[in-house]
Order: sequence, then structure tokens, then C-alpha cells
Amino acid sequence: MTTADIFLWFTAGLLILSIAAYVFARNKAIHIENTEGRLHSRPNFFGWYAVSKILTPAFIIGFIYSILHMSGLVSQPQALLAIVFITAIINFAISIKHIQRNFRARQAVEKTSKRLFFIAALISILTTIGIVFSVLFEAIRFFNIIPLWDFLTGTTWNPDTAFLIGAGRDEGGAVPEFGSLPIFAGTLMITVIAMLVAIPVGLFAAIYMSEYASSRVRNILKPTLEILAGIPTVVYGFFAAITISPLVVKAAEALGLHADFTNALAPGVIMGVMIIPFISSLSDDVIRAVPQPLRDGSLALGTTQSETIRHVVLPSAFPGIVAAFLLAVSRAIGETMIVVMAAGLRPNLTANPLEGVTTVTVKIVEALTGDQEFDSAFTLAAFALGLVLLIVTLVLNIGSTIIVRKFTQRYE
Amino acid sequence: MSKPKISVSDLKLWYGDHETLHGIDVDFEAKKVTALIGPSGCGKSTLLRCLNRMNDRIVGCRIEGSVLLDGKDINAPDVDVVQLRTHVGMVFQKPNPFPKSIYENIIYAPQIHGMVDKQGMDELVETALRKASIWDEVKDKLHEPGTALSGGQQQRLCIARTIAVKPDVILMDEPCSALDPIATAKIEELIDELKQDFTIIMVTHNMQQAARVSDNTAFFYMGNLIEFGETSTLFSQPQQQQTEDYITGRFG
Amino acid sequence: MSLSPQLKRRYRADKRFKFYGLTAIVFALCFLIFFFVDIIGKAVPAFEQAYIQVPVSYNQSVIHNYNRAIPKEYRRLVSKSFLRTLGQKLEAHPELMNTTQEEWALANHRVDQFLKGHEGHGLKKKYRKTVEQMYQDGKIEFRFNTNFFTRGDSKMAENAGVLAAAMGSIMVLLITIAVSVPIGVMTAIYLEEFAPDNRFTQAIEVNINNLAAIPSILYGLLGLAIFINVMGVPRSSALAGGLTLALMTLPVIIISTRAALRSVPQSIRDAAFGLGASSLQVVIHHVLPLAFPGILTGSIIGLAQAMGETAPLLIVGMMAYIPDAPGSIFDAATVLPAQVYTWSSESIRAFEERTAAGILVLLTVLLSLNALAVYLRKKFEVRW
Repeated sequence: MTTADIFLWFTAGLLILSIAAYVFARNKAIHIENTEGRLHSRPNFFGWYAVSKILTPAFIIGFIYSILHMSGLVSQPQALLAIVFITAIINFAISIKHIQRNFRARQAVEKTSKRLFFIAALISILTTIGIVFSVLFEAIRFFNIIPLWDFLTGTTWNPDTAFLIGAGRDEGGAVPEFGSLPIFAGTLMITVIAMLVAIPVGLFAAIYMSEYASSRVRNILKPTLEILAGIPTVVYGFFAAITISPLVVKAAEALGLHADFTNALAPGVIMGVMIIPFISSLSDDVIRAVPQPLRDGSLALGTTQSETIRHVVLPSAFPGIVAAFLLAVSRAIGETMIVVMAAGLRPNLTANPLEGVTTVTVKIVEALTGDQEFDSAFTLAAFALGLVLLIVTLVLNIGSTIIVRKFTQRYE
Repeated sequence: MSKPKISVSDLKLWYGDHETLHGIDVDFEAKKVTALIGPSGCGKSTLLRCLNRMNDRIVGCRIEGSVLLDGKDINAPDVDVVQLRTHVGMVFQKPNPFPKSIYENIIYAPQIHGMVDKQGMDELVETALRKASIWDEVKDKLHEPGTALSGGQQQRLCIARTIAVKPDVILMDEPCSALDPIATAKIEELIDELKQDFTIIMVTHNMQQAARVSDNTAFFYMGNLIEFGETSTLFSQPQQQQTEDYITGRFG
Repeated sequence: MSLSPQLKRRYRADKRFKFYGLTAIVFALCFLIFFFVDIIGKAVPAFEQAYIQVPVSYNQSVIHNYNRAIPKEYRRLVSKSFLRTLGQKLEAHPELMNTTQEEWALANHRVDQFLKGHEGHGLKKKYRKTVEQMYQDGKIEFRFNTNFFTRGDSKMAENAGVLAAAMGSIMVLLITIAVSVPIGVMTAIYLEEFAPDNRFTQAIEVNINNLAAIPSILYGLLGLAIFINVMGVPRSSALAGGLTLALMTLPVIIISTRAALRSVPQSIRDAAFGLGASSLQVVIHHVLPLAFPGILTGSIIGLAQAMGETAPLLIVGMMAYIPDAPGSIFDAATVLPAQVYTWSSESIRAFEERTAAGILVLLTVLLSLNALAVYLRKKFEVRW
């Protein structure tokens, strides 16, 4: 039995049983009401009560089984289905028996639904734990092979031989090297280029929209700029690789310089453009939240509009703007498709944006989309890089939250 | 009456199609406190905001008539609004210190106007704060945020901020309405001192306040100036029925 | 009053500052225009496809070697996908045996690109004259490229279409909706309506905000490690992709649903409670219906985001060569953005315009979804 089959049987069986239970329980409730007088709860609740009685144990059993199955302890899908359905039918019978005139079906149903809502809320926690652990475990396995210090400070990334070892063809020779410094440097360079585009353009666009434009113009401009954020990153990647990179190469030639087709400039600039609306929309919101009396107070002292903006409005909105910057940086670091398509594959420790560099996300994709054995250091390296990415973005996000909180306290 | 500091004649103002001021004629004497009173929506704050053109920022706001400052029309095309506001300062209803330190709050405008060099800054801050009678309370915390002060202190800081620019006229738009009685008393005291140096025009809701601090009072109703005169006269022997009704509390 | 030089300088600074703002806006708008013109310009040729009129001789040898059906000089001009169908056609229509028909065949991508005047068309010199002559004689003509919308991916550029990827996208999106919307809405209801204000609830809230900021590729690592390696979901399947995207979309839906629930005034809850409704009834009968438009727009925006997402799907293997629409959620599938990615890495020139055309299809769908969200928000906007 494949997973798919088990899944289908499980779902279909429970669905049929649930419908039967609902109809049966509700009918019994209606019958009692007609013969014995008004019930404590409405008949629908009795139906739902029966359904919840069937589904709750079924999902608990299914969950326990999945855990056991994943840990490799049991693998008897037929037994699982049998146990699930037998329990369900027994519970069906019990719940029907429970249906009495004074039974508090509504309370029972509400209790179950609240638990259900709570479990849903737990899933978001589980997702975080899942991300942390899935990255952490594999990363630890990687660090057992390659010491953490070598990984963080090494300047050569040369995993080719790791792939041979992974393929079971350890033919000696060169030792694979996993020094990720050039990869971090490449990520940093592209992020910096992106920020050099996004921060001035985004911030000035926000200032223009919030302080100068009429509300009608603003209502058109803001959603128009947000189109930039709605364009899929794979599209930007294509645009950067096919249109912008050749332009950069030509422009460099015209200036007598040499540029690679995988130069850092093209993906950096395009990433910056993509991030403009993050900065402009968030900054526009915080700038508009600066109270009008502050502006009036400054203008009444005989300052020009730009002086008021620079000396009073922007400092007041500063925490919000910084928070927007940090989120934008974390966005740029984690951005994948643009760099996969337009940046290079070769790790390169350079300060020249016309050369090709590679980034953390590019290496993750490269390592995990090949036909590598999952256990090779080459594949595991992706998780080590993922761990670094996770930590950096979390720090940036938490940092932005703290800045916002601190500054709001100070000026509240 | 000596030559007026500000002379308003036949001033009409529209917000869009709605006429809010219907031809106001009033003169404000130099180095005196003039109170503008009247029920809410009578146009007194609107008039005040015309005196340093704060209404410029409002879309659809239109003005007719003239406002003369020292005999010169402030709405004339060659008058620069930024320069005008250095002569006619304003204090607002709710204290609005900038989210900067007390020191920076004071020094901000003089610096922008190039009125002060590095050496003179400390002195200017001290003078302004002393004139606003707040120096003793804040001299030890000049570099703490102005927003950390109490409401009354914030308002005096805003007054000090305005004084630092050395204007001729200070407009006050209900400067005490957000304050408690003790803070209010301090501000009123301050206003009394300030009139030695400045022409003060204040809007107030509080008739006792107008009676206590002002030399002249103007009563507005529905966008018209109903009565204008010396405060003592206006409150004891109002000429108009509407004025009497208002100050005796029959409406408002 | 004449202006002092100092004031003049300040005014110049003022003008300059405003000018910077305007420049920023103009830069962004110009980019947008340049971008769309560029993509549309690259995409439009893909909607036309060259067809070529050739004599097809049906005989016994065609069954064994379809190349023989066409005279040698035309063989390299016709798409292999046309030749491959000849054997089946002969089986279906035995009466054609030993006849020669003039037929319109799908032209090879090299012919197509050559006639469109694209560099890198790859048509050999010796064929160019023939092709030009045939085009003048009306034996080659351009028709609307229906294949692009009715076929899946193909190694033959002239035959490649977006249908399989579009079906894959729909399947993945349905899974994403089925998983993320109920869980997201239930989470939001729990947090807004039932959760006690304690540390655990705060932890969930902080956690959701952090989840929204985690790079999408890490969701791919999660999908690979948990769904594929631990749970045994088949790699490259729509299920793996859908579940991964569902987790990624979850915070977006939770956040927008919470905002929608919060905008329902307390007085409505009080009124319902006052009539003796239970807390669950208040939520289901009153709060949810009133918050529904907000939830709907939030969900549409989240799903549009998921639909344009590529990185996590590459990690869970959804970049394979998929010529046919997937039969079930367990089959290997690809999605529109992943198809765009695979095409963009092809070296054949004809794939470039197909990539652009695929992008155009994707953008059209996404922009319509977003426009729909904006429209719904405007239409159902309630001011309390």
C-alpha cells in the first residue's frame, strides 16, 4: 500500500462515517425532540457531536501512527486503517447512545472546536520548529564532517571532490574545501548594491507620496509601485539575466572596462528595484503617522517644507524607517531566483561588482537540485548555509522589532 | 490708539465653497495681549491661522481682503511665507515638542535661519528658556527628550521654541486647553510677562482666561466679528446683545 | 521684502529635495514601463508560429521511419513532432496509403526564428534560400500559436506549451488553499477571539511575525527535510509543493485574517452575547461573515504570492521536465514559474521568447488576482 492509498482510504472512510454519524445523530435528536419535548441543544449540535467523536480518536491514532512510521518502528497500514475504523465505529455507537434529551451537546461541540482552533495555532509554532530543526540537524551532520570554524572563515569553496566521495568514489586526491567566506562576501555585495538602489529610491518615493503628492495622486502611485513587489522573482531573474546583464556588459565596454555576464551589478540593481515598494510603502505609512501638529509646529517657526521633513518628520519616523530597512535587507539576503538566474555559480572573493559572484541562496539551490546523494557533504552544505541564512534573517527581524519598540517608548 | 501691529480688513475666507469668515475688520495693538473669544466654529482659530498663513497648506482654502503686518500685506506675492513666520510665531492647542532633546527643540529654528553660531547657542537656549520661565525646571536635563516633560512644561517649551526665533507677534491657539489648572496659571503668568516684548494674539475658550490675561478682546460669532474693545469694557458693558448672551453663558 | 541670500539658498535646497522625491517616483515608474515593454516585446513573437506546406508521401516505409515521408530538402525544416504523428495518422486513415498529400506542418523552431529575424536562430546557410523562397511563395505562413496553450513542455521548442505547468500550478494552488486557508483562519480566530493573554499566546504572535520574514527558500528546505525525507511525500509532486507553499502562505493569511477580525466592532459581539449566543456562535454567525471580505482579499493576495513563488519549489524538486499534466497530486508536476525557470536556462533561441510568453501568462494571472483583491476590498469596504 502506498502512502497515497492509505491517505485515500483514511480520508474517504472517515468522510463516509462522518456523514452517516451526522445524519443519524441529528435524526435521533429530532426524533427525541418530537416525542419527549425540547432538547438542551439544537439537533445540529448532536450531529456535530457525533462527528467530533468519530474524528478525534481517528486523527490521534493517525498522528501517532505517522510518528511511529516515520521513526521506522511500524509499517502496517492495514492494521492502522483497521484500528482507526473500528475505534470510529465504536465511538459512533457510544455517541449515539449519549444522545439524550438533557445531554449538553453544544458545550461538548464547542469544547472540541476550541481545541481544534488551538491546534491550528500550534501549527505555526510547529512550522518554526520544523524549519529550525530541519536546517539544524543536517547542518550539525555537516559540521561533523567540516569543522564550523573552517566553514565560516575558509576562503576557498571547492566541493567537487565531496561529490565523488558522496557518490562512493573516494579516489583520494584533493580534499574538498567548504570555506564559505567568498559566498558570504558575494551575498553581501549583491545586498549592498540592492540597498544602494532601494533605500534612496524607496525613501524619497515615500517622502514624495506622503508629503508632496495630493491624496489622489498618492492613491494611484502607491498601488502602482506595489506592482513591483507583486512581480514574481523568477521574472525579475529572467529580466536581469537576459536584458540587464548584457546592458551592463555593454556599458562597461563603452567605459573600457570588462564585465562578466554573471556580474553582481545586474542582479543587485534588479533586486533593489524589487525591494523599492517594501521600503516606500512601509516608510510612507510611518511618515504619514507622524502627527500633523509636529509639522505645524515646525512650519510656524518659519522653516521650509523640506527642512521640516528632514529635521522633524524623518527623525520622528526614524524607527519605522529603520525597521523597514532591516526587513528589506533580510529580504535581499534571502532572495533566491534573481541571483540563481543572473548571478554566478563560482564563489569569488572580490570587491568588483562587474565580476561574477555567488550567494548563499544560489549555493543552496545548486546543492539541492542536482542528483547528489542526500548524505554527501555537498548536499549537507546547503543546510549549513541555510542555517546561517535563517539566523541572519531572524536576527534582522528581531532587531527591527526591538528598534521599533525602543523608539516608540522613548518618544511616546 | 497707536499704530496697529497687525491690521485686518474685510477678510473673507472660504474652505472650498463654504465661506467661513465674512469680512473681518480688526486691528491688533503692538505689545498687547488680544484675546479672540467665541463659540466653537465661529472662525476665531481660522482667523488666527490667517495671520501667519498656516492656512496655505490646506487645499481649497481661499482668502480675500487684507492682513497688514506693520502696514505691509502679508498675502502680497512678494512676501515669503517662511520669512513671515519668523516674524509671526505660533503656539498650538496641544503641546507639540519635536521628538528631540529640549536643547535641540530650542536651537532647531535659529540654526535653520542662521541666526546663531556655535558659541551663541548655549546662551540663546538659556535666554529662551528663561523667558519662557522654564529654565529652572529643565536646566539639568537639557539633553533629555522634550517629550518626557509634563504637559505644562511641554507647552512652555513650545513657547520658548517660538521665542528663540525672536518674532514680533506670537499667535496662541488655545494654549491652555490641554493643561491642568496649575499649568494653566503658569502659562497665563508667562503671557503677562511676554507682552513686554511681544504682541500676543490668543484664541481661548475660557472667558475667565480672556478676562484675566488680555488687554483687548474680540468676540466672534458665526464667522463675524461681533464686538471688539478693551477687555474690561467688553466684559462689563458689552455693546451687543450676542456678546452679552455669550459672556453671561446663555450660549456657547 | 526681498529674500536674503541665505533664504534663497534654503529655497533652492527645498526645491532640490522635492525634485529628489519626484526623481525617485519617475525612476520607479520608468523601470516599470521599460520592464513591461521589454517583456511584452520579447513575448509577442511567441504567439505566432511558422507553419510550412510540404508534400507528405504515405507509404509502407513511413511506418518504420517517419523521416521518409518528406522529401529530403524539407526534412530539416519540419518539426519532429509533426513527423512523429504520421505513423498514427496512417493507422487511423489506411486510405491514405500510397498517396502524396500537400500538408501544412508545424515548422521547425529554426525556421520560425529565422523568419522572425532573431539572432541565434541556428538555421543552416544552405536552407536559408529555400525558406525565404517558400515564405515568399506563401508556402510558409505564420499562424496563431495554439500549441503554446494546448501542449505541455517539450524538448522541441516549437512544440512546447504551458498547459502542463498551468495544470500543475492549479493543482498546487488547490492544495495550498485547502491547507493554509482553514488552518490560517482557525489560528487567527483562536488568537483574536479565544486565546488568553498569556506568554504562550504572545510567543505564537511573535513567532507568526518571524515566520512572515523567513526567506522562502528555507521553506523549501523544510519541505525537503520534513515532507519528503521524513513523511515520504513523493519528490516533485504537487502535494510536496502545495504543502510547502501552504506553510509559507500561512502567516500572510493569519495576519490578514486577524486584521479583518479586529475590524469587526466589539458592539456586534456584545449584541450577540446579549441574545444568549455562545462564544462559538458569536464567531461563526456574526464575526466571521462580517470579516469575510477581508479574509478573502488577504487570502487572494497570499495565494497570488504563492503562485509566483519558485525557490522553495525548486528545492522540493518541481523543476523536472514534465511534458504532460499531472494525473494526481502524487505525480511529478511543475508549475508556471518553475517552467519559466527551466525554459530560461535552455540555450535554444526559440525558448527565450517562450520564456517571455510564459512570463506574460503568469503576470496576467497574478495581476488579475491582485486586481480582484483590490476590487473586492473596495466593494466590500465597510466603515463602522
